[in-house]
Amino acid sequence: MANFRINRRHFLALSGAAGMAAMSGGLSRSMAQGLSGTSLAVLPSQAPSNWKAVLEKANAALQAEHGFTLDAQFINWSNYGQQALLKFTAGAQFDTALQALWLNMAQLQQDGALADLSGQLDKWPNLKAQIAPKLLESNTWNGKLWGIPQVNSAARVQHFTIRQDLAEKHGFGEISDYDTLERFFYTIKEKEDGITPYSLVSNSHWIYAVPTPTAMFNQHSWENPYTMQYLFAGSGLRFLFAKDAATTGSSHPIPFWEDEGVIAALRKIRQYYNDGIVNADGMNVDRATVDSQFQAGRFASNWAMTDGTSSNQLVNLQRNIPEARLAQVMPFGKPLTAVKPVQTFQADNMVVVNANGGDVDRALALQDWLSVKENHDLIEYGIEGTDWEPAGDDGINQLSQYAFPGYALLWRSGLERRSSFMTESEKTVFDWAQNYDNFTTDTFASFIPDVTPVREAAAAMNNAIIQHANPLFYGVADVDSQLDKLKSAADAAGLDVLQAEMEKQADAYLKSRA
Amino acid sequence: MSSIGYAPSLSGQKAASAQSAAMPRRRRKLHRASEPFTLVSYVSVSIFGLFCLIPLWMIIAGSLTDESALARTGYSFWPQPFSLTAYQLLFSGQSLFGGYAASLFITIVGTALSVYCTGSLAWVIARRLPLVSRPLTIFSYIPMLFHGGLVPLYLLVTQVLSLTNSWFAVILPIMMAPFLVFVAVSFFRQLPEEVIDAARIDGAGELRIFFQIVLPLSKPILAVLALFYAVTYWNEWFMPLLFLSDPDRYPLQLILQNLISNVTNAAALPGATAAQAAAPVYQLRFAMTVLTIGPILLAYPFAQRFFVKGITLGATKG
Repeated sequence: MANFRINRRHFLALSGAAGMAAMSGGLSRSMAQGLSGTSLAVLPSQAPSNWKAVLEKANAALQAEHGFTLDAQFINWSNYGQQALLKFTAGAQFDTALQALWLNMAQLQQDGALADLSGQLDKWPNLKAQIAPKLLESNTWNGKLWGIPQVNSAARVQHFTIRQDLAEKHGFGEISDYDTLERFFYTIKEKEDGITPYSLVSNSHWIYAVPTPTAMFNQHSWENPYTMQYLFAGSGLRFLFAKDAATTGSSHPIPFWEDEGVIAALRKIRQYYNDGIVNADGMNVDRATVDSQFQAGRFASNWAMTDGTSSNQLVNLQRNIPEARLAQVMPFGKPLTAVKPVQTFQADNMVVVNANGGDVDRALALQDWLSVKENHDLIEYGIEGTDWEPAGDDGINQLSQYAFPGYALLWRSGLERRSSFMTESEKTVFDWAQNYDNFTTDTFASFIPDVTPVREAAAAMNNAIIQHANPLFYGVADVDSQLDKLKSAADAAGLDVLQAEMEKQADAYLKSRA
Repeated sequence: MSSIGYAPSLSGQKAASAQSAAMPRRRRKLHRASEPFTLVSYVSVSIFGLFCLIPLWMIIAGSLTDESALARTGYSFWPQPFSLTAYQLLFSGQSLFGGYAASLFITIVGTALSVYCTGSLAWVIARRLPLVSRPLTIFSYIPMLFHGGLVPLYLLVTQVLSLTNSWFAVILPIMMAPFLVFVAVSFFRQLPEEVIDAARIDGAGELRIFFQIVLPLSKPILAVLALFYAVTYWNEWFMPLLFLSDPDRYPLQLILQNLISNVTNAAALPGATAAQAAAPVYQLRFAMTVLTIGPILLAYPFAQRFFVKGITLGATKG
């Protein structure tokens, strides 16, 4: 081996070359900013099947481009909320995690565990290009941005997926209004032995009656999809605001049971429960079980969201019932072109940055890198040719078992590919849900109630709702007597306090917006 | 043996023969008298046994029944149609074997350490040594009443002990169960003091007394401790969830919990494959149960003799 020695001339030449390379842009801005190490993301679910190979490929690119690498810690969904909260509380070292209002985001923000990202997006052009201004505005709390919203569509509207083959068998064409849907339910009950018309699920009680802006069995909300619900925290009491709040400046919140449409919906659910239109075990059965039963042909309809995933069930359904077909029934009673339901555009999922153990620049550099289609496809779908192949411009044929929880790190509505087996009916709905102009922004769109002043009352109310409101949402109790119990329990839990605080905060929000 | 050197009289012979004739009759009578009770006992125990076994069999049958049949018609006694899909899914990757290895390490090493430490501590407490036993008793008793909480435990293991991604992070936090320390103390206090005194007179030191006299006499309680600890370590999933982030180090219980969660969520993701969308949920849960309870279920019959005896001895003596 040759005895290689660096003399002064060599050293100066190397230093000069490195300096020139840096000055000429050979080093990325991230490296110039001194980003290094590993950006650890805490994610729900489990590592995808080919994750190591994908991560290796991604890290080679990330290292070259930004000077750091990515790693992920996966925690299964059942334990994610508690574990993520523990990591934030203990000041563990990680950059980003999935958070949401339905997890612990409000609490973490109030405790100072989340980094403030306001004004940071301007530094990251790829990321900024993928986040719509309306989305950004609606997910800014009191002028501050606490997370990067992760959405694959502009709006989220819950609706029905129905067995279109059964509908056509019994003389129904395309179902588009509540009365026809109800007739379909009763026809199935009468003529299809062993099939329950609709499947209730345990962890989604309020969606059947309380509007956001529609509820599954709230016929009034189908005709007037202009009301959103707001609550302090968790599974607590849902308030509805006055429809003329924007003009009067007074929010006048009422508990959901003071809304006529909600009460009518509760009576419908009770009727459906008694008539066997819905499953009797709705309060106990989980989503996975119901989906499995739907795919086995035990239900004629199921819950759906405008996220383009309902058609996934068709594969297994057709394995069991080859002639089965699915269609979406939107809760409006009008064509999609004739309705502009309200939306808050608040993202269900946010990527937040750990204020105590994370690096904001590195976290945003990663988000920026993931906003480039090639990088986004690599992490979300795996290695092209091995894990997936493109189908058309924006479609995908998955070739392996690779499944990444994109909603927790890199959902960008403009970059998402569509499953090759998405039905035409769902494509129509999904396309409609991509456009912000198809919706009306709610008056209280970016209002996030602060639970701090009423924490004790909110906790007591949570218990009252679980004990006394849930039986109403599943139709298992007589509506009038159960409502009396609920109202008494709510009064005892501090309804007045919660209502007054909600009104105070909502009115202040209106004033600040004016 | 009893007739050697013994010449019974005639009357004695008659009496003996009468007695010997009466005994089988009485035995037969007793036998007849006990028959209905025995029969009822057998029937009752058999029915009770069936009540215990049928649910287990239903789980096994369910794990072998096709998902669509399970979802459509519910449980059945015989797997119809027969399907191994869930087991194929479970054994399709290397992770399950790695999980078995991790669980075995945690269970074997953890149980050995736990039994050794619990036995040692209990022996010192049981000896009633001045200035030592009482403080140790109090020290062992406090954790039965109070717990430091999750966050301090997390900080201790991850930041003070730096045991993240180590199997010892699973073993150490649950290595000593105060309840079992006191069970062992109760047992040790029943050992005859004379045996220990005799050993001491023969020149044995404290360690020799403990290892060569006390432990061999304490097999029942050691078996109880081992079984309790082994079951705890085998079923442990929460500590791995807290402290293990490397999937290659996950024990079986955590892998299986993740798997069922992943199957459900993977099927709901946009772009899910046909196989993901068709993954069994019911069947997988049953197969998972069979795989996890299997090994520990097999261990019970072998340790049952010690288990029952040890529990009784430990529990009844104060």
